[in-house]
Amino acid sequence: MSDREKVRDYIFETLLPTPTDSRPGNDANLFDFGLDSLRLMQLLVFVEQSLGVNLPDHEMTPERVETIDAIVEWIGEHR
Amino acid sequence: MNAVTNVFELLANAVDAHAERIAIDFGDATIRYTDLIDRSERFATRLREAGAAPGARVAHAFTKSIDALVALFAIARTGAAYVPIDPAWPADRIAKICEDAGAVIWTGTRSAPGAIATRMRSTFASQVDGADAVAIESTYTAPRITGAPPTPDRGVANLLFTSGSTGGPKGVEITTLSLDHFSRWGEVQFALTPDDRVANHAPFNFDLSTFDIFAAVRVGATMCPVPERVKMFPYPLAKFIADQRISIWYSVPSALVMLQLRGKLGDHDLSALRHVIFAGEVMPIPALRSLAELIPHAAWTNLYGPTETNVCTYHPVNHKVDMSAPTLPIGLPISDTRVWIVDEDLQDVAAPGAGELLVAGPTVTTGYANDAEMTARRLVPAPDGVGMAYRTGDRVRRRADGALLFEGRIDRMIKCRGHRIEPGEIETALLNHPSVREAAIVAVADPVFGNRLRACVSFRDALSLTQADLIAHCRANVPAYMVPDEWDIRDALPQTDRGKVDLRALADET
Repeated sequence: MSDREKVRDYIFETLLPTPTDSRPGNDANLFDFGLDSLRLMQLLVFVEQSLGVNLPDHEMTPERVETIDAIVEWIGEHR
Repeated sequence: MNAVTNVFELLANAVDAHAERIAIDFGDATIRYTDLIDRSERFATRLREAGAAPGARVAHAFTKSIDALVALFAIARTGAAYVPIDPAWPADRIAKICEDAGAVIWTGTRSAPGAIATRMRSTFASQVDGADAVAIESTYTAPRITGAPPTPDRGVANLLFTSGSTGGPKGVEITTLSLDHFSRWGEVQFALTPDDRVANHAPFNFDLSTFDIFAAVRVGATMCPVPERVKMFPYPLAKFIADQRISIWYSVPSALVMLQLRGKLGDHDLSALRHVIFAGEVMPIPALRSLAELIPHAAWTNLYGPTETNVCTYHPVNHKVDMSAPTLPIGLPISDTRVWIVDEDLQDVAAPGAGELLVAGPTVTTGYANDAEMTARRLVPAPDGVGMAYRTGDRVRRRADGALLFEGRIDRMIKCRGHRIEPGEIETALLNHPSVREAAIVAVADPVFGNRLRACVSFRDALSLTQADLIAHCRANVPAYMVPDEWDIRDALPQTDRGKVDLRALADET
């Protein structure tokens, strides 16, 4: 599975569980789907532990995490 | 200084002394005190024409902005009470709150969602998105309101809605007396001056925000609202504190813990930050210890008080003693406030025994909106015969030096990121789903956020719902912070011998 698929699965299966037929595209704003501070921290732990990529804290901005595309791009910068 | 009868007078006093100073610094935009009062009094004219007056309640549904504070003072100026609403709440909850509060005037970043808009007699919004809404900016050309600021009905300045155990949110009446007293106490305790820059991190529906607003305004300091999107991000948040040269910070502990864990506080110049205040949940000592090492020049104070008492006790952190203690005390009563530790029959518990904390004093609520039964249950005659005392539901103990120690709840309330959550409210929402047979919410300890919520659910029939369906159902009915983080779907929940869900057994499993 690609990073994109893994992140997408984690987000819609675990972090923000959403029925398959109502999952938005990879460019949808995750804040509109319930992403909040607690879930954001969980997402970072997932990326670090399951994908083995360290995302520097100082790079975390709203723009980098608001869509799956943005998150995957950010991960790619540190692969 | 004399007590005020309308919180607007705090702004008027600040204008007398500090007209040219910056009242609000919101990133790219600032506003001086003289302009804040000008805009508020022009907006107030339009609000009064719409019916805002003592006894009326006006919905206040803003994200952080200058308009939000203009609206707050404009509502106060008319003598009406403001009712803070988080625009991100589900529409049904907002509707319920407006109905409960009897609010028919809406002020907000946007118009009221969906069907609620139609029951509003008037709508004022920063971003006009409906034909019937009036742009707040357009009210700034109205004439300034005349006459003295009227005293609000029964002295109630605002209604803060919190989670209710019986299924719906309940509105706590916060009085002018409470806001005036608490902000005056804060002014003295933290030696606030016009040079202070006070962050406003908490949402307006949290009582914490009343300190940021009214303590800042009463001394002519600058309020610095934290933009919504910055709040969630530890590094940008730390940068905000540095760039804005915040001198006074007040938030829930989880925001500070997040800053400590991922904000890289060492990267930022936090030299202006002189006092860090926190309240709303238990501050973990290890986090406090490393925060104090990262910001060594700042003083730290723990405040305590359910919404119903605003703040009633405080504890300035004593590094030598507190950093090695198991828990941080909630401390001693603030000025003119009395506390008792009592048993179920409201009789004093002898020291060092633990019991429920009773609080009486100027910051205590007058009751719940439209809920005389709940008011009578929680407000009881004070043991010393002077006024009413609030039963906090918090179990406390008195240390040898008099400082109070918080030991937990006597009921099921859960604190999560400073939000208070009545499990019953989520359970009611779940049980309202036609396919849910049993539902119970239990707390799971979390090192950063205090608690996470676990939902234990069983269904009426085998081929039923998925976890995603349940989450979607919760999202539509309760605020995001009340949507359970973990789900435990079972054939049946354990029961007590009385046939009720065995909460203790579920809690023991976590």
